[in-house]
Amino acid sequence: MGRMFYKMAAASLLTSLAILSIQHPVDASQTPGIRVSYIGLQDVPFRSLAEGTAGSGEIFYYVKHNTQPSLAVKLKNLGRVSNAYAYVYEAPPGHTTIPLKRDGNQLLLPSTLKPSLVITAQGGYWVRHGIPNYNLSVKVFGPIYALWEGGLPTNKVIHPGPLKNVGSHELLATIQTHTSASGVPLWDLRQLVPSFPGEGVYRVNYAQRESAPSSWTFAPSVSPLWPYVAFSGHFLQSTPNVLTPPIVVNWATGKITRFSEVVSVRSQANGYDFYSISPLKTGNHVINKLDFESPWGFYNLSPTPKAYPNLIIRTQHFYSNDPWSPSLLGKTLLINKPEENVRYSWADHPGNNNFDFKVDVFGFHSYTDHVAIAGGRFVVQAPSYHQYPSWVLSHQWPSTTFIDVQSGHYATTEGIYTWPAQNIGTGYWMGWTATPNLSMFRSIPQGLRGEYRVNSNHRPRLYVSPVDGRLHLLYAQGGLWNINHQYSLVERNLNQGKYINAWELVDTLKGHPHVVSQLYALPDALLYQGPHGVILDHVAYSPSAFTIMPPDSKSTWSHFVNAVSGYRTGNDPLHLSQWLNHYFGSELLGQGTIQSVLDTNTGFQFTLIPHGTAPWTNQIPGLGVVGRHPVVISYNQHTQRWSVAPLMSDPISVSKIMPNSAQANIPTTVTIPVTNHANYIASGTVKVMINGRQQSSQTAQIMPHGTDILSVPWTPTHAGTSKLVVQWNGVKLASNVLSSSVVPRTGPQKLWTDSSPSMEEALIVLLLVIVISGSGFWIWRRTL
Amino acid sequence: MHQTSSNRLHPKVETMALIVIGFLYAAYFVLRYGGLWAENDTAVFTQVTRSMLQAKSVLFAGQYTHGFGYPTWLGTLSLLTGLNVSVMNTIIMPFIGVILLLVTAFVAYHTFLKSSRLAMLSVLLLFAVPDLMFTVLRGNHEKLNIALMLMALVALFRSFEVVYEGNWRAATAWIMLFYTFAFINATVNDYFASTFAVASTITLIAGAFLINRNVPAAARYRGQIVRLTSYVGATWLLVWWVMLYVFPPAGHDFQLLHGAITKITNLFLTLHTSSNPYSAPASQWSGYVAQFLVASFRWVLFLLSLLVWVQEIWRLVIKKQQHRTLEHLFLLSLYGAFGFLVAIAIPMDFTGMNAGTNLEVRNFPYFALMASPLLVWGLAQGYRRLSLVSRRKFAAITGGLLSLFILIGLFKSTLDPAISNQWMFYTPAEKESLTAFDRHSIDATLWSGPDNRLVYANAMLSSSTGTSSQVTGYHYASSDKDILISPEVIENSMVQHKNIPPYQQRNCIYDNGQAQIYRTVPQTLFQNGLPPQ
Repeated sequence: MGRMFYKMAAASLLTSLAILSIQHPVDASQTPGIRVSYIGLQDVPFRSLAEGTAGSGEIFYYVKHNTQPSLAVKLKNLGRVSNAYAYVYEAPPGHTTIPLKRDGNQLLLPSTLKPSLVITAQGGYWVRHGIPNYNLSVKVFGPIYALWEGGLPTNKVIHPGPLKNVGSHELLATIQTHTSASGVPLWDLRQLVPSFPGEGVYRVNYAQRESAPSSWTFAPSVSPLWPYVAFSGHFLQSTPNVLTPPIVVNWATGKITRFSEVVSVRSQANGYDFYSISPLKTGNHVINKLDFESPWGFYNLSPTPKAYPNLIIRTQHFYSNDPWSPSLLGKTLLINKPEENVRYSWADHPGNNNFDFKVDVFGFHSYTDHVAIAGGRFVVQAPSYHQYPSWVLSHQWPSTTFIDVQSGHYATTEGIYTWPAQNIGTGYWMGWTATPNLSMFRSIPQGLRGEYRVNSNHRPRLYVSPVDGRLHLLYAQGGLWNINHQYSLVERNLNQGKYINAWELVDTLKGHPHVVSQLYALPDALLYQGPHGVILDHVAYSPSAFTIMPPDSKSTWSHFVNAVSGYRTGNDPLHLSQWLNHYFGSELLGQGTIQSVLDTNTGFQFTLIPHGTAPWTNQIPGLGVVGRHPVVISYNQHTQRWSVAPLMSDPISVSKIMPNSAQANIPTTVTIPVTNHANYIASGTVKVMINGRQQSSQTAQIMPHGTDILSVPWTPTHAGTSKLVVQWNGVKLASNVLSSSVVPRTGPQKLWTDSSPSMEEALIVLLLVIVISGSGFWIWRRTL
Repeated sequence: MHQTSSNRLHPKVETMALIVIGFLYAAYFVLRYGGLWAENDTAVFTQVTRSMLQAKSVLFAGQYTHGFGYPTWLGTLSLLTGLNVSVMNTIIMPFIGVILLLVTAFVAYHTFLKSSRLAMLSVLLLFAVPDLMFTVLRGNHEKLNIALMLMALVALFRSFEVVYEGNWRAATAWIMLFYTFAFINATVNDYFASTFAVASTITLIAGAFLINRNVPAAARYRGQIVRLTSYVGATWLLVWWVMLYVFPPAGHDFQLLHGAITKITNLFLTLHTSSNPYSAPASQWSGYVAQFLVASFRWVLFLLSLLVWVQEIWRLVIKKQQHRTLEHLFLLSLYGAFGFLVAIAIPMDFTGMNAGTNLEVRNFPYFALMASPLLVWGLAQGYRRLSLVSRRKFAAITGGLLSLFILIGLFKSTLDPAISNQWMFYTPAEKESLTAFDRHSIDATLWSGPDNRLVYANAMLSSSTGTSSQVTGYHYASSDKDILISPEVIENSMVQHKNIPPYQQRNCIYDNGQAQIYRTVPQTLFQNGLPPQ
């Protein structure tokens, strides 16, 4: 009896001690505001459990002096040869904390509460030697921001994240992460689980590290022995080479708001990523076609390792017949060819989040390579990481823009956004219209210089112009530089050739933009007009110092930086006359203005309007005398001859306009012969108005004493008379009256006859009908 | 020729003659354009049936959401006969539709009128209603809906009869047959099945009202009216069962009801119409004369039948006359019910609801089905009071007018270009050009005319799915890379006073002698210049 008593007493004592040890806070965080309490079931210490010892435990996170936790984690390890599991619970709906119940000495979670995260750690441990285990599989339940843009408002293409449509315990996404042997996360794959049919949401996020970091830090977590809960955070990892714990909690409401990216997309120097609307498909030998931002490449092209990239290639890609192509909005057709818009941004210095140049290209190219991702679990059709830059630069693109950050800094983690090459009008690049929408190119942020080319198919090659001393896009049609709050420099390509050959300094102050000065790089001449008057410099020069491609590797980057370094500043855009200081040819100088500068096939031509009475200084041999009257000066590059002709006031006339009559609703073509009576090229805009509505507007260059026939399509909508007016440069040139009549309705008999089928077919069928009817009638008669 | 003792034709001869007339009507409908005709519903159901056969299931993306019955039936016949779906729907179905109408209408009218002669005349009258004939002849579900509704009515009255006789075995058979017809009707089209249910409900309410008012003619049938409640209730349950469980896609139609109520309320509160359903008919015909002629019999039928109906209601309710058959009372009720449905369809059409822009047109054939026997009954009453000489004159005049109306109806039901501005035929040359476009074009849109005539034709001909090219009609857009020009396209544009797109300055990329396809001359490298690389 006594022995039994002592045994019972000893057991009670031991039990009491065990209960006391369970309830005693262990490894609590030192951070003010959040207390961590661990309860080890079966007496397993927290550290042991974290390192992989079999057992179970519970972690509770308390905010300040709350008696109920805001977050709870149930841990279960099955031993070193198996996986470790964590079930993460947040406050239930309508609560800001988890209402634990005390059952004797135990704390029980509400029976109806389900985990918001279920995390599986391969290897059976969470932390060893201070290194968290990020070989994880995670299931995300409920509206937690776990894929990019999961919580942001709608943008034009991607619909709002699926958060608002997800039930509180619906499986939203799966996440898989994998690390190197040293514990640095190598790839992070996230897939949306609900199908959300018809919704353009991100269904795949994939981030892959392409080089080992020079240094690595795991940022502090609330509980270091289970290091996945952050004090605060965002979805994106903002600091390179630092991994903030991914579970972000709103401690005030007790809700898990985010499961952050484990491998950063934007904050690492070398990365290969996919953000796709189309999902990944499983199965043997499945080649996945991903779309939208697929792929996304980040590169450090500088010789030394850096934390940030200095080349970012961001694409917007849709494969053939992709149902998510934005061009399908409002249309029901599938686009039978791939399309992509690639933003290729780089810096001429090691990566520091500032970028200096961009070529933006748009076109229709297929992905043909197959790339394994996620440790070989999936194969996608895309250019590989290492081939991606050369893939972009080796193709020809029908629409290209070029941006040069002339002043200030352009900080970005996604590349330079300005002037995307696809924004030239859907109708234009779908081939529905012949006129691009160039309104985007009429403005540009201050400090940026941009150029565009939307009408020819070339590789995105650049060249340096010795005239202005800057880098340009080969075959650019035009450009714009927003120098400062007052001045802009407009670039033009007069002859649709390879090079920019006209610059206009525009004063945009007070909302009345006006041209301050102009400079033209013409064949064998540089022409200037500005406050100093007109300077025509007859000199041979090269429009291009050299051509160069954007860098796509470390070696080409170094070459690029060295080659372009001397041209980063360029000539002063506010003083175009100084650009002529580098050239020493024979000159024509004087006070006046110039108009209608043409770069023709044979040379050039411009109109010179002298001002004042001072004589012109003319050192150009063969040019002739320039007096005080407006003249048209022409130069033939082949014969090297000049001509000076007086400017005619009305050189253009219109002769007989045909036809005079038309029929309502039937299209016709009105031909308008336009004749140039001058002995120089007449250039201008011909507008044709019918009944006050513009029917046609064309730019015309009519050869000396030549006639151009203008063809204007027109369909009269009703019978009667219509007034046609022809304008040349806004001035009425001619008018005509067109009459239209209604086509009488074809007679009903003819309509009936024309719509009747051939007699043979009708007779055959009729014969069959009669035979069948007759047979039926005969059979029926026999039965009467 | 067999004749009766009264020197008239044998009823069976008359019946046969009716079938021959129907056959010839259908033959004219088919042969008028050599079988090359298409219109909206025919094209839709041809495509749906093709897709259903490919999917091997009645549930697939793109299925007709109001009922799967017609595509299933059409697809089954196509598989059994080996005939192409479009051939089945445009060549064979008109004949089947006419036979179904004649047979079921004759049996139903015989039930209502208790006279073969009157039933036959009622059926003959239907030939002069082109709205009904077009409905039955074209390739859609309405021929089945009409036949099933009429047979359901026959089964209903047969069940009343045998119940009255105490023959419960036969009653069970007829009742089951009624429910079968109602069920099948719902699977073919839930709207028309519910229309029948609504009409039956109104009939039930009207019957209950008359009994409540102690109308002697109705009071005799108290038992049948009460029994009718279960039939009506079961019909509704069958319709809802089909919509909610048997064919869930039809369940979306419940949302239409809410939308309709909202739009009707807005219409009467704001008096602002979202659409004008009467603007199209005004421009559809070649002139006012044609417009008047094609609508004339509709008004004759409506006004005369309304006169008969009002007169009969007066006699029954005010004068308290008795001695009417249950079937006659039912006919009167159904006439009123379907007339009411036509009346409420008018404001519905002004709401611009997608599914309600032509409800009046869709409800009118059902009204005509009831108006025809009622009118014949009324004319028969008046005929009996005429002298022998007057009877002959009356018969001659009526026969002559009826023949004229049937002829006009033939022109209307085929949308003959002699009188109509909207056409339903296409030529072999146009058919060839559409086929060539379908086979060889990539990423192209073909403008095919001032309306959807050739769009429907293309739907009949093309079995391509997920194509990157499209045929469009109506307004020409700059995105229409190609233009189809034929004498018919030009003529059709002229009669509709719509502009022909400027095609003369385009490249002619196809020409079969009668029809050409013109393509935009490429001016930029995005126009025909950039194949995928």
